[in-house]
Amino acid sequence: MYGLVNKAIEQMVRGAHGPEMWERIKADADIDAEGFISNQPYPDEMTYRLVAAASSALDTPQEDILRAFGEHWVLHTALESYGPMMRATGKTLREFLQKLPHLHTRVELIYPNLQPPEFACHEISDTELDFHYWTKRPAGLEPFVEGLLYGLGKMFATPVRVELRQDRADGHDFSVFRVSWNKTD
Amino acid sequence: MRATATNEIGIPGSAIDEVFPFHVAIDEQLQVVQVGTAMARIAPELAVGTALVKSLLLRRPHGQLTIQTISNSYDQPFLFEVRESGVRLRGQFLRVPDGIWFYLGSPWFNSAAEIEAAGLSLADYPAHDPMAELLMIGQTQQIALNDLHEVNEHLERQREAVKRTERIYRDAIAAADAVAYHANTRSDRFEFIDAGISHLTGHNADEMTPSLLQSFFVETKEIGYRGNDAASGRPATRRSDHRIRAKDGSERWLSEASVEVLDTDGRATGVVGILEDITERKDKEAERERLSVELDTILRLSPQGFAAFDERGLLSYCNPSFEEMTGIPRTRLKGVQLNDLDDIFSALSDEEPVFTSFVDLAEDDSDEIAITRPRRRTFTRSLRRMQSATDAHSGWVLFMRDVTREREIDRMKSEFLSIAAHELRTPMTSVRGFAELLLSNEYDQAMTREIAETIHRQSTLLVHIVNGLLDIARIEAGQGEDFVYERHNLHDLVQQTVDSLHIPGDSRKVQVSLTPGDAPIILADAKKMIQAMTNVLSNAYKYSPDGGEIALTILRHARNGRAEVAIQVSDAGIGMDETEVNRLFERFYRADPSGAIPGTGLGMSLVREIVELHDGTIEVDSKRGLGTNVTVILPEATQPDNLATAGATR
Repeated sequence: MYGLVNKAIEQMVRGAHGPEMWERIKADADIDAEGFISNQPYPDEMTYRLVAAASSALDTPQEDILRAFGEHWVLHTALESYGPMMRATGKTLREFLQKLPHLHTRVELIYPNLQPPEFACHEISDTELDFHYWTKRPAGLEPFVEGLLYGLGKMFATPVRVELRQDRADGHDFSVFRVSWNKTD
Repeated sequence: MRATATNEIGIPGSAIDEVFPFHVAIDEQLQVVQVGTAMARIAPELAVGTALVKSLLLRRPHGQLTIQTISNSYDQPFLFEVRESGVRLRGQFLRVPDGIWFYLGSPWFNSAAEIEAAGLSLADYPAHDPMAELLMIGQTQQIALNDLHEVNEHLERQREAVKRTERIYRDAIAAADAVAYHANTRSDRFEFIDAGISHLTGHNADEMTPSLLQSFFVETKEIGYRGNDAASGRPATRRSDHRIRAKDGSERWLSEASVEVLDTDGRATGVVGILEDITERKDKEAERERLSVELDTILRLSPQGFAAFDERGLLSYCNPSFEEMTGIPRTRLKGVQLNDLDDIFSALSDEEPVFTSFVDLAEDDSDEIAITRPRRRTFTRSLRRMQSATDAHSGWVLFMRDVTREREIDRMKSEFLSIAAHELRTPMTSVRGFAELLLSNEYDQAMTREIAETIHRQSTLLVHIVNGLLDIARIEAGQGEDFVYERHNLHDLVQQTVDSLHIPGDSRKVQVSLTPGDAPIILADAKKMIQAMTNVLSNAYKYSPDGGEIALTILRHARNGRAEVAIQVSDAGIGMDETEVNRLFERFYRADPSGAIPGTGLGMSLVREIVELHDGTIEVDSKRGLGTNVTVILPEATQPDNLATAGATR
């Protein structure tokens, strides 16, 4: 993964638990890098170790860590780094989710070594849709995607409910989240 | 007009606006004929029918905007600036039929913030326009640049910290009078070495190499070594002490602590370490060791018991004598509490303990304890508090002295004085009493003579007692120093003894049986030996008042590889039971408690003193009513060389 991801984890831990906790997690994850460069690729293994160490140090399940990280990714990392791009992707949650594949097309051009996930939306009704998620990475990142969806809900001031209806962990090719929200207009 | 222009290129007006929302079309007179919707938002004055240059200022190429300029630079990018807002446009002219030129451009911004400030969003750009991607790349690079700055700042802080630490270490090393180095073992050179090395070796630091430094080492003692751990990447460490000989021949001791330097592949490329001059410490250690050995030897040889206890009262050291006194091996005594010694000594006594408990034994106080196992012994104990000058070490030292013999001698002296006084008082009382009778009464001649004879007899006994005591005292005091040891024919000595023996009122002759062949030769003080044999023979006569043979037999035998000669005196007298035999050599002991047999009770005591000073022994075999055999066993001086040997042992 690109350094941006590890840096986001660092930012989240530092912001919520202080620099000492980050140093401890980094040490537990056996990482001695003094900082991450956002556009430099790092081994996925390093990110997984950070998540595992954070889970242990904060005595929090890895799923909760990933969920919180998903929200943080949208509301801080993505918005602070690529706000205009995010805003240009859609004016509503629905529009954003529908155009998310286009956003990743652009991201892939900028980060050539990226293995971006693929998403697809299937309309269910005015206030709900099924959000399909493919990735080449091992199963287990679903809570992160769930956190992303909650974060986007907050970004568009549209609180969402997210339900994992199909999980790659069960042998499926892709996972399916049912995303629903209240009608606002 | 707008419809006309788009119709000319065969693209519906709505379609070209979707693909090129920032377009503007002009005719040959440079009049605007069509404006894209997004272009109209950033340049509101750019209306159809107005001159292009009224709203847009040509920036590139240089010069006046004319149709000719546009034609000549047809395949070149044209940069315009919206006069009203300053927004820059980048695009290209496209000529369509009927003299219409399309300027297909898009506003150029350096950041997303500028786009928003211009009232636009990235959504206003068409999908084919790379502006969003360019901005993202720029943003990504900016973020990466910020990251680099951040990392750089972090590294800078670390570098400062390392510099501070280095300064601290350097100061510490300088304060410790130590030399730090970094040796490159591959190239055999020092990447760094303190100039102080020249003081230690007398060799210039600039020319010093690792192998040269090693050539100064004349002795190395490895103190500790820990190998590298490939798994964790931990390098090997080593601690050594080196004796070095400097250029000027002077010797010093250096302590070296070093650690390997590993490259990224974990291979050792060098060593960093610190050399410290520990000559003074080594000298002190050697002195301390010498003192320790001396003290240990003294304590090991000392018959007195010593035990040291630490500040918690736990035994930290005891010498062999202390071990022997307690009967407990040192290994078990180590760590024993001072107060627990009470139990140890109590267990060694069958009697009620009479010593002071260590709890009550005041510091710098002494007492005396008695034990009964394995044998009755008496010790004095002294407890001393020890405190070093710096108060760093404290504890106690217990000093124990075996006073068993002293106490026994004291007891024997008292007993002896009591007995001697009693033995002297009996004849003295008699002498005094009879003398008083003579002084206070008138007796006839016969009675007077009888009294005088009694006084004479009793005073003679007194003289014998006193002489006997003086003989014993002299022999004990001199320990044979005044004896004149010479080679003597034992047969001659026996004959002299028998010939000079005169027992008043007893006509028996001693039946002498000499050894066959050559007479045994003994190394002896003739006078003393004759005195001893006389005493033994005299007793044989005295204690066989009813007659019977008195025999003196000389026998030869060897015992424990030593040639010995035995002088056995036998009588058929009153004999003794076992208890009496055991007390035979006590001073003033008399086998005849009735007092009918004259004697001082000192004779056999004197015999034993004399025989033992001749390296001999004495054995007594007696049966009540059957008689007594007294055997004096002496070493035989068979070779003249034995003279010196025998004499030397005394």
